[in-house]
Amino acid sequence: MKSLVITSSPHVRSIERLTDVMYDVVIAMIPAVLVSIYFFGLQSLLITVTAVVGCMAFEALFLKIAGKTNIRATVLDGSAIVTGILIALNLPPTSPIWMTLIGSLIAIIVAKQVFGGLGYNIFNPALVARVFLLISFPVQMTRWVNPSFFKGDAITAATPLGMLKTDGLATVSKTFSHLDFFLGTIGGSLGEVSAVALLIGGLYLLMRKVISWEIPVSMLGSLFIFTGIFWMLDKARYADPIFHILTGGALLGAFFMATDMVTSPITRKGMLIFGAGIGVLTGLIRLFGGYPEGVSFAILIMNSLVPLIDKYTEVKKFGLVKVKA
Amino acid sequence: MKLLTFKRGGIHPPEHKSLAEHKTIERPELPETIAINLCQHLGKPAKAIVKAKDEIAVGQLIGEADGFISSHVHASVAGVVAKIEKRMTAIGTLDETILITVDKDKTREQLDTLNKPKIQTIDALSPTDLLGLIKSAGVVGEGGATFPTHVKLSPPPDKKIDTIIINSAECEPYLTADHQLMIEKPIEILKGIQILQKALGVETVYIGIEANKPDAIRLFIEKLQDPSFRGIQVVSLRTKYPQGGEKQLIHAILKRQVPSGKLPFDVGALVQNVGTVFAVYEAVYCSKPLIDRVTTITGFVNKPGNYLLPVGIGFEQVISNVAGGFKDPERVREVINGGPMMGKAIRQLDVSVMKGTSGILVLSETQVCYVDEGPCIRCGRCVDACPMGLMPTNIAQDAQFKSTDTLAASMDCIECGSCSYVCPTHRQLVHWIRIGKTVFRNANRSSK
Ligand code: SF4
Ligand code: SF4
Repeated sequence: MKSLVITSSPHVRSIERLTDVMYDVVIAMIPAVLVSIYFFGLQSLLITVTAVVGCMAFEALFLKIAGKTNIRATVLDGSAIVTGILIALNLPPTSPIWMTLIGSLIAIIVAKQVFGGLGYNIFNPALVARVFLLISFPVQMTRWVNPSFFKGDAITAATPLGMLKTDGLATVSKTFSHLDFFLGTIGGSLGEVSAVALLIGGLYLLMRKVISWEIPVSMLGSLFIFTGIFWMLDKARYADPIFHILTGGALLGAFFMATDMVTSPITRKGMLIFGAGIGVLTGLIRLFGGYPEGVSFAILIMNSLVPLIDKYTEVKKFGLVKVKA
Repeated sequence: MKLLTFKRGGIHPPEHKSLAEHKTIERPELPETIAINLCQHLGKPAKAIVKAKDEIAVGQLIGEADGFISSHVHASVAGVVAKIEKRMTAIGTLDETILITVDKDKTREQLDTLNKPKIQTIDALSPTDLLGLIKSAGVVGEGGATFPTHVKLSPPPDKKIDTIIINSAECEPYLTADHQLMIEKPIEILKGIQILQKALGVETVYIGIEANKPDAIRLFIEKLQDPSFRGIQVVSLRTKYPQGGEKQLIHAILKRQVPSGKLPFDVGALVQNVGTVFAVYEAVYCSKPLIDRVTTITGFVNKPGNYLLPVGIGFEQVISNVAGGFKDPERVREVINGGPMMGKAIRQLDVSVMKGTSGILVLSETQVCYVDEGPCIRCGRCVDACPMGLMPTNIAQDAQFKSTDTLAASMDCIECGSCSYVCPTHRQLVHWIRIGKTVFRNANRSSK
């Protein structure tokens, strides 16, 4: 007999591992990726592959330079792949390769590894990349095209939210119907077009218990209520709440980015507060801010509040009851 | 029947009970020698009162309780004391141990008399008599914590106990010893319960059984038709780990929360493991001290089952002669004293079965999952799983980095292992929390 190993109890573990969690997220994003390829063609596939490969390569490079061991396991743990796909889903279909690569670099090196790697980052890496690119390359980041499949050749077009900001609600209603938003026959970044694909992925994650309902529900709920109030006040000026949920990054954010475990609160109560905060901030930016879309900023702002939220939403200990004297 | 359960947290690990389930309790061949540790219980070790070359009989007192929280230790065999030396125990401590060369014929003969009931009723015995018998029999909690039973049965006078709970949840995966004992000795267990009722002057008793043992539930309901067993009720519990945790059990059955830092008697409850109740029965009816116990030997062995093992029999002997040996010695990686969730891995096989050895579990290389700890990805699974409402990841982090912020909470941890079990990055949460407890105790001691 070989010598016995001594491990600390418990001696059995759940079969669920980090990689399973991560690959479940990858699986959940497949519908959205497929839809984007269907609408935007091979360009979309190219962006996705570039972003994923870029993320993995930069991670490997960083770990190598930092003198880390176990590089292979870290790069293949699935988290870099998730970040890569998320970056792609956040980019417009016209994004040049070099810009995609810069995005990957920012996400992996600046937003993730510099903080200490997976688990220690404060901000969602893919969103840091998106916001960085949006500020650095505003032109490339807002060059939208309509999905070529439905409207003839790809033509430059505005996103519904962009149109709303510049041309007003009337133009938007003339151009799109709610069904367009639902199916995705609208302009937007790769992962923002088809609500139905995002919903399928989100439901999968909920079913697999990778994410819990709190963040998506509270985020979309509060966005719905917030925009609903303004819509009720002035229906000619403000878009209806369903519009706000189906367009832009709301669903992508709610299911795939706000729910990022590392950068969201740890308790259920905290998740509710976190989601609600994102919903309200998104509404505020969309309705009154300078940018047409506010999901990314809203999530990043709430990311920074997570330690505070965690502090005030600690779970209640068992046995905190009054003792009879 | 409605299934009762504790509310917060909990997990559903694969049960693996079928390996040893429903296997009749077997009494194994006697070994040549036996090594009885003098610290079989929580508290101070017993003091040896025999010396080398002494001839001893089965059930003879060989170690005397030392102090209030301590317990007697008796010989489980007849024979001659070979020597007394310090030895490694199955719980990893180094303790005085009495080695006995076994006289097999004498042992068999004396055991037969010892196993026979000597009295028919307990009517003639007062509560003090009963407590005395339990104390002199060296009965300790057989569930694993091994707290001396007579101490548990003597709560401070200002604590009024109104309910006794018999812990038959057996929520640890793999283990089936309590289950089988219930199937084979229901009347003895019920008589043991009557002893507790009388000793404490308490009428109400609940027998909590997890729903995965429907035959035991049915059997006890049937036996309880007998009107002489008054005040006793069976309750079915949902199969969920750690249903058998004392505080969880009290919450599930009585809806009472034991306050943080307090004990069950603070809410008027007393929990006894079903194996212990059987030992109480034997102590009173047969005047037989606690010298053997039912243990599940299971996992990667050829003949998993439930065995009545004499205290002090060696693990090596138990595994190779009793349980048919390892399936493949080359692939054995871990041997555990107890269950997979809360048991202790042993370092070497030359340790002895103790009063608290509820199971001996052998895990092969495919079952032991020894992987490096990953980072916390803050998924919150451990928070959801913790039955005590703690934030395991925070406590572990503070323990790891020696900040004492949340370490006070570590004292509420029952070390059930649910948090480590669910962590997708395999953090050794319980391990760090245990360290946290020590850090916290030391910090408090030095500030006083
Ligand atoms: S912190 Fe303690 S009580 Fe909570 S799950 Fe972990 S081991 Fe169990
Ligand atoms: S289960 Fe593990 S990874 Fe998840 S929050 Fe707890 S310690 Fe962190």
